[in-house]
Amino acid sequence: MINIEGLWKSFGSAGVLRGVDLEIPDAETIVIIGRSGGGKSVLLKHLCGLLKPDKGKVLVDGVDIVPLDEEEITPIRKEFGYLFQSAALFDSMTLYDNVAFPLREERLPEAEVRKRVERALTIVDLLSAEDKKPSELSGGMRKRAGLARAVVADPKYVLYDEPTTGLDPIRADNINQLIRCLHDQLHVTGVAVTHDMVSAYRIADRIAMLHEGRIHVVGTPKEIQASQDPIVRQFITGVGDETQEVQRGTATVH
Amino acid sequence: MTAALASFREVMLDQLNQLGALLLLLIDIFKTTFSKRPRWAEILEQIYKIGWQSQAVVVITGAFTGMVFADQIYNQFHKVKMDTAVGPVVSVAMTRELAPVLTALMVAGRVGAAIAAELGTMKVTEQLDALRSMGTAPVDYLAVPRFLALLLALPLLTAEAMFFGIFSGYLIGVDMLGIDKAYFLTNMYKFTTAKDVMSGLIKSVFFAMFIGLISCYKGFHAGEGAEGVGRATTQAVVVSSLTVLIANFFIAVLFNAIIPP
Repeated sequence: MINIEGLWKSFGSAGVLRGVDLEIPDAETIVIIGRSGGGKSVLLKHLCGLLKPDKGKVLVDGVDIVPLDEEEITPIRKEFGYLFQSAALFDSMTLYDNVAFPLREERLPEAEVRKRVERALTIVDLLSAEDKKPSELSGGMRKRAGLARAVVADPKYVLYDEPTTGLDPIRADNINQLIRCLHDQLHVTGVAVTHDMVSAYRIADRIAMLHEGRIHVVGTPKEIQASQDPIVRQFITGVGDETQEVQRGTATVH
Repeated sequence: MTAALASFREVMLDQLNQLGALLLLLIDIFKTTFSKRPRWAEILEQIYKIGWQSQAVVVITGAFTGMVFADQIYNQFHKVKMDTAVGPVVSVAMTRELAPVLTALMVAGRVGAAIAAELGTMKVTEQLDALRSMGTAPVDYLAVPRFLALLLALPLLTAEAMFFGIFSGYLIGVDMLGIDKAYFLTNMYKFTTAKDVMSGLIKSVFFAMFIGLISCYKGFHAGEGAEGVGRATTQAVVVSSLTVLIANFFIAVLFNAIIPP
């Protein structure tokens, strides 16, 4: 279980997170939605200690990871798999070596590594590309390879940063299915950040909206879809802010 | 005036911060080297990239420096009939100063830039975060192998530059300028001691530490985007080269005080 309590983070004078509170129970997939540049990825990086907050707590299974140093946090990080927005595959390695990396770091026997890597690559339909370098892969293939690397070590928590961005609708749906499958079959706790509402409805048990540095609303996909909150409605329907348009003088009167 | 003082204070604070961060990185590298299992595959790969692949640059640098040095020294010494002193002057200069400094500068340019660019690119493409998210410390996986490879490779490259510098000086002095071979070699052996060679090799160990530390630091702290990586790469080469040149003076003075030539 992950508990976020009163999380504040700013970069220079820009406050990105302004008191985020959120509870993520085990075996639940929660999707954090919000505007681009609103701090969703920043929040995700706090969950496994890649960023330190200015203030607040991040409790992973009851342990506050904020005061831990890099060495102390390492065993907790191994509980996490992380799909980065850019996939963040290692350029110098083949796809196989990329996916095998977390297993080799655990010094598993090479036969076991091969078995698990092949299983992960089969799930994301990339087994035939195992000898390719990341530069030879398309954006969608890199994303799927990143997903294979994130789940190959059977983590308890998986963090997905924009899992479907840059993918065509069919590939995006494949990724959504994979995330749903991880949740249903392996009971992985997932936290995804996205502004793709199709993906959010497809994979979420609950959706949390990050707005102006705080969690504005939390609810099931159905509750979010039915919400009459103007900020939520504006985001999920994708309609621009009329007040701002009027102020800029760009609104059209019919 | 107040604005100028404030700006000066800011620059000084920034420099002190960077110096502190460099020191912390050095401590982290040493701590990791002795507390974690060695990553032999990565270390050997870096020795190949840093040591083996730098040989052509270092051999050419050493050889042509020895050649031009022998020629210039001969032209001056010939006027006072001291032709046979060319050998010892070339060999002492090559072992004590020219080989360690020029090799370090060439390696700073070639390897320092590559390290900063590679680590900087990994930073801006979130590969460093990916390493950390999998519980692997970038210092352990990236900095330590490069640092150790430099510590091993730079003294060997320096020795290679010493050899090729002296050998090419010999070829120019004896075969081209007609200095007597026996006098050239006898005087060279007489005035070049093990202390000269050791002083050059020990210097190269310090230079390897400076280049490795500065290049890794600049890579790990690269700014965003291609511009940030470019700036980090330039800074790695410039700061490493200047540090080598400045440190060389102080190490030379220290060595002369401890072990008089």
